[in-house]
Amino acid sequence: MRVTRRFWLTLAAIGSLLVGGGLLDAPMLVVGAVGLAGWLLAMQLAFVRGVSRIKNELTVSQSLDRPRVRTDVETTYTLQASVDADSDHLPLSVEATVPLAARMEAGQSPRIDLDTSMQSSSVTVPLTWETVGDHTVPGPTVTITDGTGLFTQSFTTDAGPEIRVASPSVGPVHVGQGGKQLLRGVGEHDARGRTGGLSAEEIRKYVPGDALKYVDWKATARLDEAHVRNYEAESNRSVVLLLDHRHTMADGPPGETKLAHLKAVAAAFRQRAETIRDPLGYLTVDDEGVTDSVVPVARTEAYRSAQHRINDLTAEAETHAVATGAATWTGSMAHRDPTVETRSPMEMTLLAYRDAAGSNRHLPNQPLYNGFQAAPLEIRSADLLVICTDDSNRTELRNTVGLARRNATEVVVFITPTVAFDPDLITDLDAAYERYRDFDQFRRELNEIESVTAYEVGSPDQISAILSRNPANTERGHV
Amino acid sequence: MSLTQGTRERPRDPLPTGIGLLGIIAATSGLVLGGPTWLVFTGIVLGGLYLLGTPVLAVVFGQIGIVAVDAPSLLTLALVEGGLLVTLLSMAVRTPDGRVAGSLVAGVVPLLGGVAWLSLWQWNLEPLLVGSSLLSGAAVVGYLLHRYLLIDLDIVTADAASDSDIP
Repeated sequence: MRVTRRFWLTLAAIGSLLVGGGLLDAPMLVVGAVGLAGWLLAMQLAFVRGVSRIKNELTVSQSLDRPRVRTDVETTYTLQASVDADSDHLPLSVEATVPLAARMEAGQSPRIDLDTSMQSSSVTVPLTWETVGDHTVPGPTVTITDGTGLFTQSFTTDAGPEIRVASPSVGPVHVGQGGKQLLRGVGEHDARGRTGGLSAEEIRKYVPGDALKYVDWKATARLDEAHVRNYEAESNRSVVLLLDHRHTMADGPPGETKLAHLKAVAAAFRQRAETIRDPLGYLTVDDEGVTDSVVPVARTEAYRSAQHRINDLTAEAETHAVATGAATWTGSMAHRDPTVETRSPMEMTLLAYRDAAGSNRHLPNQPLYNGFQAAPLEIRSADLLVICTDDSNRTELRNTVGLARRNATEVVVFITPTVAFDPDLITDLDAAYERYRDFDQFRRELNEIESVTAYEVGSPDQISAILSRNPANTERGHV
Repeated sequence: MSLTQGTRERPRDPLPTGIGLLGIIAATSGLVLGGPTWLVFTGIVLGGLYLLGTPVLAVVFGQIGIVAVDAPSLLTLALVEGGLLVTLLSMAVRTPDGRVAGSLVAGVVPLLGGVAWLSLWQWNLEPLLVGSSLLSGAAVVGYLLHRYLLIDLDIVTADAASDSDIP
């Protein structure tokens, strides 16, 4: 309870009467002071009773017109207050607190004033959400004043609705193979993994391409031939997103770059992993090497962290010579070798061959490959590795997929064909179609590797425009 | 853009200003009855203060006015004190929960006034001592009411030591 200026003035008058009565030996003034103090006390008692009553009779509700929204999209917020009372109540105001993640067009926070005889009121304002994430509208503050203006009391009601704010969408995304749309939703996979569970399902002969970690050494020794053990999937499989955000990923119109399309794919995998509680990790790589990495864990914070990382990924235009390949790994993060930029191209090439002779084989100008190679074992040996990149450096991608296949159980590669993001695409569609065929040939090569699946990712319109030059007019679809 | 809607109102009860003015008239009558005629101007001042929205000041001046009366009779005291009590009552019944507030004022004010009266005239205690004691007691009760409200609103818990910041 807070007292107002009027209360203090009344108290000053009481004090004056008391002191005056004492100094002037006028008992009547003291009686007056005591009487006024009694009046003040009675009014306080009435106020406390009135506030307690309102607390039980007041209903404050907040609502948003939708539970999910994208950034910079306007939502409608409604604040409603009603007092379920037969008689008059103390005057009150209900003021909402606009979340930090949201922005109001203008004016003060939404506020409702309920006079003594008003029973209900509501206010509706537009809110624009600016920050990606899950947000809760804080509980509004109710302020009650008494009829004589002596006391006020404020309290906060329960928090309001929750809203999930997502990053802007790039619109429809084509994910498919050879122009054909992927029929199963992006991110979906069998809940039961081929390997990686806890209980053994069968032992079979080793075939080239099987991960070494599944070789059953006892059976191999006993049968004198390499055997691997298949497992029944009793636990969820770990998923790692390998995200490329080098400068080439900035190709394409603003908001519809290669990276924007691949972020949508990565977000779908993240969403799927969170839904079925698959352990999720990620590794992000730019022109200089590894920028971030998290080993797979199945915790809510990890899924949120992955979402924020995906949203925050940017592909900056190239500002310096790309001369990387010596990223070193310490703990869970890769730290760039400070001497890299001072080395000459000749040194870099020679060092790469020197490293190739050892276990830590770094390849010049292949940060994706080097970053994955230097990643912790938990990342390299994921049950499902999702590589999101483009076809700018096909040799590097081929090397990376090969390396990934030797470690991870299953590899899915999402590639944005550079030709589909070429601004001069429309000018020569025939040439573009030839480039696309070349890309598709490369994608097929990757796809033919056992346990590797390669998809193309791009704008449906661009892919459609390219395929329009196909004599067979390849069938395709959209997501 | 802001849109407010869905407001329902009920007719408002008439304000008991007349009751307050009646109290002022009764107090002025008491003052004039027991004191000099110029005290009628005090009545005008009291009425003005009441109508200007400062009834507490009107009560304070009414109480000061009675000091100017030499040896006030019981009738004078009854009129003045009763009139001022009615003025305070009129403020209480003006509040939304007027019936309860009026009852409280009608009970608490005569009670404390009566205790003060007895202490001063029957038990011949020091005015300053009596006044400060009764005001201290009222302050303690007021603080307890404050704490009760905070607990009732779940702003603090009943364990005062566990509450780091009390509003």
